[in-house]
Amino acid sequence: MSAPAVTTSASVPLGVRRSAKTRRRLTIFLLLAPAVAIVGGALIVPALNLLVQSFVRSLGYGQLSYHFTLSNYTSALADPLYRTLALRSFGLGAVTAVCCLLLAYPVSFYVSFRLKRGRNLALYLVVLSLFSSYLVRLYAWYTVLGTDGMINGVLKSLGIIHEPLSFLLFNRFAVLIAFVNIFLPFSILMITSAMQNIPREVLDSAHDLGAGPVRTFTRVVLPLTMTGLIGAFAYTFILTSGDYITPALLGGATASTALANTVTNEFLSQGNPPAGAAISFVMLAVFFIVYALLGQLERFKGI
Amino acid sequence: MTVIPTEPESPAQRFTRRQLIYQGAVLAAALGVAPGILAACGGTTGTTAAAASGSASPGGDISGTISFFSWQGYDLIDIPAMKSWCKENGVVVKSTYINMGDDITAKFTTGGGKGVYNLSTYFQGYGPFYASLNIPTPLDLSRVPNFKKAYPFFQTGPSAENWWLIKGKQLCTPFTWGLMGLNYDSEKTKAPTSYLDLLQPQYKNKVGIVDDVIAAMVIGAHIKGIFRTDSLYTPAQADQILSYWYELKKNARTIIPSYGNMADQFVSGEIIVGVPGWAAVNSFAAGKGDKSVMHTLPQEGAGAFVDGYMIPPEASGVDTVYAWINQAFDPKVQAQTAEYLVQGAVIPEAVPLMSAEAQKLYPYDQIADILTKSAPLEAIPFVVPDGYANWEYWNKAWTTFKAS
Amino acid sequence: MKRRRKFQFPWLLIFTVAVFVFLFAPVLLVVLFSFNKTAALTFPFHGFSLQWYRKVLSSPTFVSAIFASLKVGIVTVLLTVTIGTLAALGVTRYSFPGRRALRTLLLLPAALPGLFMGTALLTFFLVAHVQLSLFTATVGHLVYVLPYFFLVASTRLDRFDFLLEESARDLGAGPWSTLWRVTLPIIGPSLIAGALVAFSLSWDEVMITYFTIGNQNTLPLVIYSTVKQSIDPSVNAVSTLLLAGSLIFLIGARRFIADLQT
Repeated sequence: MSAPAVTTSASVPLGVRRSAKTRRRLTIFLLLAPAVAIVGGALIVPALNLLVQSFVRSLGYGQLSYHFTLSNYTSALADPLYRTLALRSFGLGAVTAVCCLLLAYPVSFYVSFRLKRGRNLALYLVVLSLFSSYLVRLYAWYTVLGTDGMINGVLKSLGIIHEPLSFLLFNRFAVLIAFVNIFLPFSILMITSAMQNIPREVLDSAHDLGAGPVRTFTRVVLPLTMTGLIGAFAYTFILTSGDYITPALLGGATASTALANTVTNEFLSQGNPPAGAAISFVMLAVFFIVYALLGQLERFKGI
Repeated sequence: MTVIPTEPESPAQRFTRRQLIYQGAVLAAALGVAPGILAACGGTTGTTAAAASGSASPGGDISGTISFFSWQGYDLIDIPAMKSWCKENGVVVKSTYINMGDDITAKFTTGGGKGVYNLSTYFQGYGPFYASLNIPTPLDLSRVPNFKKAYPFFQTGPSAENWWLIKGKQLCTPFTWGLMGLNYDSEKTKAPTSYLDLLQPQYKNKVGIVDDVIAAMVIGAHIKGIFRTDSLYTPAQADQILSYWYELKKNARTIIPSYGNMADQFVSGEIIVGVPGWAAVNSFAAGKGDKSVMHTLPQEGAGAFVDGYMIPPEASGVDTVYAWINQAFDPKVQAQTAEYLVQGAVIPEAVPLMSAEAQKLYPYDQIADILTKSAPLEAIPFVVPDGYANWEYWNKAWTTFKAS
Repeated sequence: MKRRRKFQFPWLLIFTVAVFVFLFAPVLLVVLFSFNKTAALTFPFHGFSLQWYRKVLSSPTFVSAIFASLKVGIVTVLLTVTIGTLAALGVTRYSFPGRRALRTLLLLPAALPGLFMGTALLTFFLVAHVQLSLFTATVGHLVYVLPYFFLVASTRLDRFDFLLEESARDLGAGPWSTLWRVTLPIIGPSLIAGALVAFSLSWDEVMITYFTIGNQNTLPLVIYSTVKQSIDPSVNAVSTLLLAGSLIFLIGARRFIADLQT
């Protein structure tokens, strides 16, 4: 409910009204111009430039052929390498997002509805983990999952294993754990924020009406927090699918190349921006499709 | 997000402007913003003393900043003789390290590095390609007098004209050379004598493969016995070469993003052998307390390389750069560099200054033979005749290998 | 009327605690190993030493990276808060055709991966012959961070009663005076919370910066390149310092964050 507050009275003379109108328009323009300029100049225009380049053939390291071609897109879509990587990256992104939701939901519920005095502290801790450096949190998993790492050390000292477990690190599993660890705080915050919108009374009414926990969840809590869920899923999915850093450091022999790495390579190692651009736009297309699908889920929100 | 109507704030909840500013100031102070703002206004980085950016003043002042973009270790920041020279002359070295040789090519073409960096290196195979892309600024050798003391092999002759002195222009000054075999942890295994040893079950899950397609191509070609210095392989031969690596991947613990990272993997015990190998990794690991990492050249052969300093396009502060490059060829600096990198020196006067072990590492009396016959330098197949695998093919194939 | 509930096993509590342990354990390990006596980053832990902190604070690379991150972060936040607040006022105070579309547009960068924005900016800078530097990196940070601040500010302003402004105007206050004395103090806490969010986003940003920066390094970039090359507990020391800084930050900002949650 945002009431625009500027009104003009009909009894004001026409000349003054007109200049008030122009002044209003000018004010709106001045208020919005800088932000629009930033987004336009630093995102829209460069994106368009990139789009144009994606339809041009690279002759290697900066030389472009300036003929319209679809070859970048056809090789991005047809090449089995990209298809494997796309499946891997988007698949891992989806799994990460789902894991984050599964972990965040109960936590958010507990923090929102069961905690009273501890709530601010809990949220504060979540925000604190957000402030920790992404890279450092990533690297710390070497210490936890590695051959001489914490898990192996504990298991060994307990006598459960004699040889260190090697399947903990340098594979998709390690990448997944690191992703979940990094994006879980976002999910918790988003879902908690959505849950804040559910008045306590609604839950109590449901309980009074005889709904069990499951029913309360599916019929009341879930629909009301659907927007938060969708937001958390989308955010996590998109950022993990486009992440080239975590796979490179934790992926090992089988999972160190993600689709995002090929894009980075094209720009910074292969000197082939058009190819990188084409892959980027294909990725964007996938994201928008996912957005659209998630948008359909919004039909289920609300009471 | 649904919006819940709220009552207007009570006066008690409002912040006065004073409180707002006060809180902001507290936060700013906590951040230590003041130095940051001052630095932003002043435009200086405020790091080591005596760092004055800019070109030489009439008094022959060569102080300035070197913006280095290349392999870790090649910026000589850990070489004592170079460190003291830099300090005396007010030269500051700022480095950005690469993971792959191609990073250099890309940086100075599509990667936005022109005008940003003023010192780099290239591996000799890139020479002709760089020339065609106009990346290196032709060097004025009169400003690098120390280079004249180098072995003739590096200064003139067919090799020089192939890789560094292209079409009469000196594109880089070679300063180090070496052979790439494999690294191993001497405490956990004996030195492998053949690359094929690594396929054995004892190394299962203990092998690290470095993401270096050039070295992989060369070593693979040696293993399969089809090595050529012009690196012209048909796609079928390329697949043959890669078959060794696919085989080895079954024993591999991980694909290592850089040689520096390989040292970490040795130290933390994740791998016992690493291939392609680089002798400098021994030093990196030793610097972390693990002195057992060694380098060896298996019987099939090794990849040879020569790296040289080049000045990138649109470089600034060139006076400082020339002085630095010249100092890099000072015999004392060369000796220490060779020992640190565990590679060869190019200045004969540096050899007696090295330790006895370092002198024995490389056959300095047979450089020309080694680098042209037994471990010949190889080209990078950028532009190839039809029917041969070109660089794009190799990179695609290698990426497919990594992703498999 | 409160109902007596019979004792329920505190599953949720245990689960929540477990999740928090999962969130913080790696970070605590990083802090622990920053005090390690040896250079190893794996167990066993060898004893306490401050050598890595000494190394970091005397290393020009790290120190200049800290300053670079600060420079970029502060400029980014100052610009973001100014531009973002103005824009938020524009879309909440006034109603005009295309308002919703504009709001969506200003939120757009938040929906895109950093990889895309970084590569787009890089190619654009090359075409426009703009040399990469801290300035270009700041541009990247600005467009990345702006939508988040804008979201915070516009959400807050959605709940703001603009009649307060009108009353002030009726009482004779000019537009700037109204803004400065009425609106800003009321929405101030949210703006500060937004500014903190903006700073922390810029502080930790690596994906866009990787493509748009010149020969300098911001702190995350130094850590990234160090991790890829060769790492020792110096990086742990840096991160612990970062964490300590953030703690001070957040303690001061605690009150503002509460405002954001309501």
